Formats: sequence, structure tokens, C-alpha cells
Amino acid sequence: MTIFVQALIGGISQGAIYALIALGYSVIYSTLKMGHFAQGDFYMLGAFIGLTLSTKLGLPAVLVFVGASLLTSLVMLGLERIAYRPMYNRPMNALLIATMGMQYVVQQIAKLIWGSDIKRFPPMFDNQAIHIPFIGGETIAITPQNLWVIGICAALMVCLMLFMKKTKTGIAMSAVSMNRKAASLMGVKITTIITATYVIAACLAAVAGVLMGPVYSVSFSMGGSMGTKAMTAAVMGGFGSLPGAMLGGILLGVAETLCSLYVSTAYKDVVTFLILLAVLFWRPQGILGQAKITKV
Amino acid sequence: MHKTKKTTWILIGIMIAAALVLPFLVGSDNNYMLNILISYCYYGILAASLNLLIGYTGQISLGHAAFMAIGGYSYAILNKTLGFHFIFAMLGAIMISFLCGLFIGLACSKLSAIFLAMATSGFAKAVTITITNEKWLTGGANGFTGIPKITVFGYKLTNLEIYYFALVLALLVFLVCYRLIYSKTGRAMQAVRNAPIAAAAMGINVNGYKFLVCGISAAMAGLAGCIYAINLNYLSADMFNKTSITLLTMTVCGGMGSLFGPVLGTLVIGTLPELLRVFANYLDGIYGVMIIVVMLFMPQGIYGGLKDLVDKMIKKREGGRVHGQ
Amino acid sequence: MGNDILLKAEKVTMQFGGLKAVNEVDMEIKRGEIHALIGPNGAGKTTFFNVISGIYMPTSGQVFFDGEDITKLKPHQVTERGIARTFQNIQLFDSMSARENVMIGHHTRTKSTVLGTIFHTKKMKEEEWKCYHKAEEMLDFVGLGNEKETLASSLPYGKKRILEIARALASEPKIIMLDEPCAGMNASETKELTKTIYKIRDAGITVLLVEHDMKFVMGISDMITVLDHGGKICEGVPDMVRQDSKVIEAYLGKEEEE
Repeated sequence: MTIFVQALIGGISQGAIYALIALGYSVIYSTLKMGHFAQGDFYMLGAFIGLTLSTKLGLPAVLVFVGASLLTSLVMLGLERIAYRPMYNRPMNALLIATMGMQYVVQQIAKLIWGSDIKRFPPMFDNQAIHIPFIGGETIAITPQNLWVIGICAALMVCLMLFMKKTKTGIAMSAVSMNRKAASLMGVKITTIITATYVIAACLAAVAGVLMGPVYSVSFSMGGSMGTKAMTAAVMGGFGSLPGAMLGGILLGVAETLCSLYVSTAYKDVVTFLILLAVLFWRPQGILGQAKITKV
Repeated sequence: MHKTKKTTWILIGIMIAAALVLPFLVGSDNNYMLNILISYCYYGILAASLNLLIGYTGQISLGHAAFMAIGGYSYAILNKTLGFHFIFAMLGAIMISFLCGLFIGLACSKLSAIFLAMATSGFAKAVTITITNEKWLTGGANGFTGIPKITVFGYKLTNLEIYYFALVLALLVFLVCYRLIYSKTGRAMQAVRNAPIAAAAMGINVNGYKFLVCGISAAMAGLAGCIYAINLNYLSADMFNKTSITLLTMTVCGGMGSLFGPVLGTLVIGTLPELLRVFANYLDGIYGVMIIVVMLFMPQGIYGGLKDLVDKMIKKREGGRVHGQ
Repeated sequence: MGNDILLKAEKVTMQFGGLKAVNEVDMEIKRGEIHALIGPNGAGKTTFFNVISGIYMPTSGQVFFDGEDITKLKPHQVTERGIARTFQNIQLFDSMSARENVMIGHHTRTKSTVLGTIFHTKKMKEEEWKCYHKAEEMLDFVGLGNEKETLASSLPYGKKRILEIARALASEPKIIMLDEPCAGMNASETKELTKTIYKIRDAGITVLLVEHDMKFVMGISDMITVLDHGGKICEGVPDMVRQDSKVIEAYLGKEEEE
């Protein structure tokens, strides 16, 4: 039982990271109706920038987070301007394929700056586990890392929700997602809104990268599998739905940890894939998503 | 009824002749060059198969190398472990890839292209992990070694003969693609890509076609995997990891939605690593940039770009003539 | 059920969320007629088309075609039964020629399979020729004989609409449903279209059309059904519909707003 609860907490913490990146996918999907295959690589970029800020410049944790997300967003902004923007009015597949190319461009940039070795990211939070008494006299150990991860992710999700509901840009984003033409007629600058969605996605991915850097170490190829998992999470919760992305992320994290605990560690990525397939078969709109009606 | 232009036939003829003569120009015992020529064959098959999916049906596969890996490993297991004759091993391997493709296609046929892209990238990951972990079956991380050279009635094929064998298979795949594209099936595929709802209203089973093309494309990739296994006599999971990006670059840069595009892409992108030896470390990035640049400026790829150019030149010349009269 | 009724809708309802886009609509379309479906914007005409052609599954109610219940059939199965349609927002296969577009229309009437095309069977080749000539015939029929090899995307707007009709006809339908065929056409094009529609009817194909151009509708239709807010408010011959108070109210109410 203790092990189970312990694993559950680990899973939620891992899932919160998936959720952060999945939110990026969902924001992009809801406004653009398309995927962004380089999303995982912005997570990698965030981790590297965070590493440099934290070890080379010795900045405090808060500044590392802010700096990494700002710089990553800036890179996204530049790449979006050059590579994506000219394609917004073309068939979606062109843009989708371009984002796949972008994946390798971002990895190459990282390789050029930081080299291709795996880099250790020194922990940013206190390593001392907190012991909480549990039934039967046993205790559950929670690391501050886990708590910070869960806390920061939760805070960011709340911020994002508020942003979408309360700010002008957020509301414009929902308008674009519902009907691009109508939104444009109402004076919403579509291109700006789309750029904003990419920047938000990059920002979230960067924070996730800095949070996970100390756990997994950092390398240029770390984004691929993270991207796939976050995508699975987004689809599972309901592609395009923000609460869905969070729920999907947490569920996937928990499922994965439980799988490593009871089934096999090696096959946990296979389990991710099987979950994705199962969702696609039985509920393609995801847990919280709504079935789409095609207008003719 | 599709009528192929005379010039196209001449072009095909020249290409086949060149492919037949090439080994003797580079030296028929030059194993290094033969290897490259054989790689053109299986990359060509892969690019053609991906083109059916992306270029004609508008469905994107990100893990096409996984189907190739499945084909290669199935061949190796059927041929070496279970001792099947190489022909049956190949047919079996193609069948297994076909079924895997159908399975993935079934999950995604109702959904938009993004979902197939995601499912295939997840599938590629899952296949790699399974191959690495099932040591008893695949040799695990050490790779599958000692796949026998193919023998016909006790005669062991040389590398040169394997090249011709691979070439024949590649030409067969090209023929199959040609027939598929310029037929009812090809028109239906393009209709599905262009306007799925209208396609359905015209009596085309949209999901059915997406599903079927996914299977056919996977079967072709499986065949490429067989050639790969036969040629190298050795397989390992990470050999396939890089193939996905190379393959995407070949198809996209060569020209999606045209029969010759992938052939051109294979020749250009296949030669690139040899020319850019010095930049080997930057190759992935270069591929990435190429994909983006082509998507931005030449959505029809190099082939489409060249064709436009030639058409324009012909028009100009004809225009000039009319003017002159 | 009399044999002269080709298409019959029984209490068809289509609900999106809280909105009933089509509400318990009954409709009977007689064989060989030109039947128009009119109504103000948002009345549910296109939704009704989508229900019949199988793109939407109705929330409740049934659709019968030639005596067969087709409510649950998929779009391609509906087409196979003999219902063809065009779209309000033109949905051509842009990257293909006019001829190829029409050849796709003939898809359901050919039987060769994917294996047939791979092995290039004799039957498949014969079918391909038939298909080719069918496209030729249909393009000539609607008056696009000079545009056979033109890319669909580079045709002018009016001709795109005509091409959609040719494509629908190539599926050898018993009924053709035209969704706003005159939209965006000039007077002479509309006149040509009227002729084409009569020709279609004379070829024994029933026509169901949605249209806003009242002059066109009143002139061409044998029977008119009027929808408003998803419900049927009137049905009858043009002269009767023209004088119906409910119809006038529905339309005048709209005109006051404008």
C-alpha cells in the first residue's frame, strides 16, 4: 500500500510534466487544428537554457525559470516567423510536415551550442525527502522536487485557464478556435493570435524542461519521447481541451509509474502507445473532448 | 484512361538502362559502391510507399521506418530462425508488415492526418523497444546477426546479383505504384486528400481507402526491410531510427504527389551523405532545414519545381514562335 | 407506399447540442419531379441534405429511398443506392482535371478492386475506358466539353458549380440533390443552368434543389417545400406556396431586418 501511494505521488508529479507539455499541444490544436511535432524539442531547449542559466550564470531558481521560458519563447518566436507563418493559409499538411522538419532543426541548434553529450543538471531544490506518517506506522517519502513540480504545474495551469477566460488575447484565442473567419471579421488579428499560441506552448514546454532537467539529465535527443508521450496525454484527455490535457497528463503519468511498478519498466513506453491506440479506437475525441461535427 | 507521354517513357527507359549499367561503371566488385546502389533501391521503395500515403492520400506516417524494421526482422526470423526459403520468408515478412499497417490504419482512418502521424511515431517507439527487449527473438541490443545470403538452388548470390535482385523489386514497386496511381484507386486516393466529404458523397469509402493505403504502404516498407536484411546480413533496432527522417526528407524534397518525385528525392538525398561527409554531424539539421525550405517555397518538391520550370520554358518558346509568325 | 415516391423522409430531426436544426420534417419526393426546398437562411436546408446523403446521422426519424431504409447508411453507401449531390461551398478535387473529377463521380459504378488495378486485369481496363467515356459524355451533357483537361481549381466560379453537377451525374443517380446551384451565377449562366436541369429531369433523374433565387425556383419547380427554423411550414405547387401567409411571413420578417 505504501509503495502504491508512493508510486502514485511519483506518477502525479511525472504526469504534471506531461500535462504542461500536453497543454501546449492542446492550445495549438484548438486554435490551429493542427499538431506541432517540435513541441518536445522546445522542452529540450528549455532544459538546456535553464542548465546554462543555473550553472554558468548561477542565477537563483526563480530567474532560471523565467529566463528559460523567455529565451525559449524568443527562439520559438523567431522560428515561427521564418518557417511557419507563411504557411498559415495553405493546406495544413504542409505546416504539419514543416513542424517535423523543425524538430531536427531545433535539435541541431542544441547540438551546435551544447554538444551532443548527456549533461547533468544539478538539483535546484533541496534533496532532503520529507517523511509523512502513513497508516500502519509507515511513512511516505516525498521529495521537495516532486512537490515543486506538482505545485508549479498546478499554478501554471491555473494561470493559463485564467488567461484563456479573462484576458483579451485569451478570449480572442477561443474565438479563433471556434471560427477563424468570423474572428477575423470581428477584428481579431489571426496571425498574432496564432503566434501567441506557439509562444505559450513554448513557454510551458520550457518550464517543464527546467523542472525535469535535474531528474533525467539533459541531452539534445530528450525531446522526442517526451513529445510523443505528451501528445498521447493530450489525445487521451481530449485533443484541444485544456482540462483534458491536464487530466490526460496526470492519468498517463500514473499509468506509467504503475506499469513500471507492477509490469515492466522496459515496456512502459509501449504501454503509452497501447493507451494511445486504445483511445483512438474507442474514444477518439478523448475523455473530456467533444465529438466534432464537420460542417459542409 | 491515362496516357503516358512518350518523353516519360524515354525517361524511364534511360533510368532503367543507367541502373543496369551503373554497377559496371563503378566496378562490379566494388562492394562499397554496390552497397550504395542497393540502398538506393530500398530507399526508393520506402520513399515511393510513403508518397502513396502522404502525397496521394494526405495521410502522414512519421514512423515508416518501423514498418521497414518489422519487415526486416520478420524476414530474418522466418529465414534464419525458422528456416523458411527466402522467397517464403519475404512473402511472410511483407504480409506481416501489411497487417501491422492495416492495424495502425484502422485506429486512425476515422481521424485527421495528425492522429496517424502521432500513432505512427508512437508505434515506431514501441517497435524499437520491443526489438531491444525481446532478446530471444531479435537478438536485442546486440542486433540480429548472421542472416544468410540468399541462395538459389545452392548457388550463393554475389553482391552484384543482389543489386539486380533489389533493382527488379524496386522496379516492380514502381510499376505497382504507377498502376495504382493512374487508376480508379489513385483517383480515389487523391479525392480523399483533396476533399474527403465530397469524396464520400461520390461513393468513395474514405475510411476504407485510408485504411487500405496504410496497409499497402506498410507492405512496401516491409519489402524494403527485407532487402535491407538480405544485403547487410545484420539488423539492429537503432539502424532504423535515423531512417524515418531521411525518408521523410526524400519524399518531401523529391516531390510528394508525383510518381517521379520520390525517385528523384532518393537519388538526391541518398547521395547527399556521401557528398557531405565533412558535415556528417549536421546532416539531421540539414534535412530539417531542407524539409522546411521545400515546404515554404516548393510544396511540390524538386520534381514539381523542375516540371514547372520546364513547362514555363516550353510555353515561353511557343509564345515566342507565335509572336514571330 | 406508392411506387411513384422515390425519396421519403419521416419525422427527421437533427439536433446539435440544444439546437434543432431540422425538426420533425416529413417530406415525399415523387419520381421524375423537380422539387425545391426553400427557406430563409438557417432554416435547416443544407442540414436536411446532409442527413439524406448520410453525412449526418439524424437524431431521430427515418429516410427511405426507393422503399429502402437508408437512415443509417454511410455517405458512400447512400451514393451507391443512387443519390448524388453537389455542395453549397464548392467541394471539387482541386488538383485534378475536370475529366478526372467526373471520373471519380463514376467510382461507385465500377467494380474492379485494388488487386485488379495492380494486376491490370482486362476487366479493369475495360471499366477504365467506360469510365473515361462516361466522363466525356457527362461533360458534354452539361456543356463543359471544352474544359475537359482544365484543372478544377482554375475553372471560373460558375463552371465549378456546373462541374459539380457533371460529377454528381456520373454516379448514374436516380435523384440528384443540388445545393444552391445558382449561387454566384450571372443571369445567362442561370438560364443555361435551367436548361441543364430540365435536361436532367428529361433523362429520368429526379431533382431536389435548395435555392435562394426565387424567380428561378418558382419557374423551375414542380413542387416546393418551405422550411423555417428547422420545421416544415408549407408544401405545394409554386402558385400555392407564393400565396401562403406563413411563407410570406417567414420571408417578409427577414426582409424587414435587411
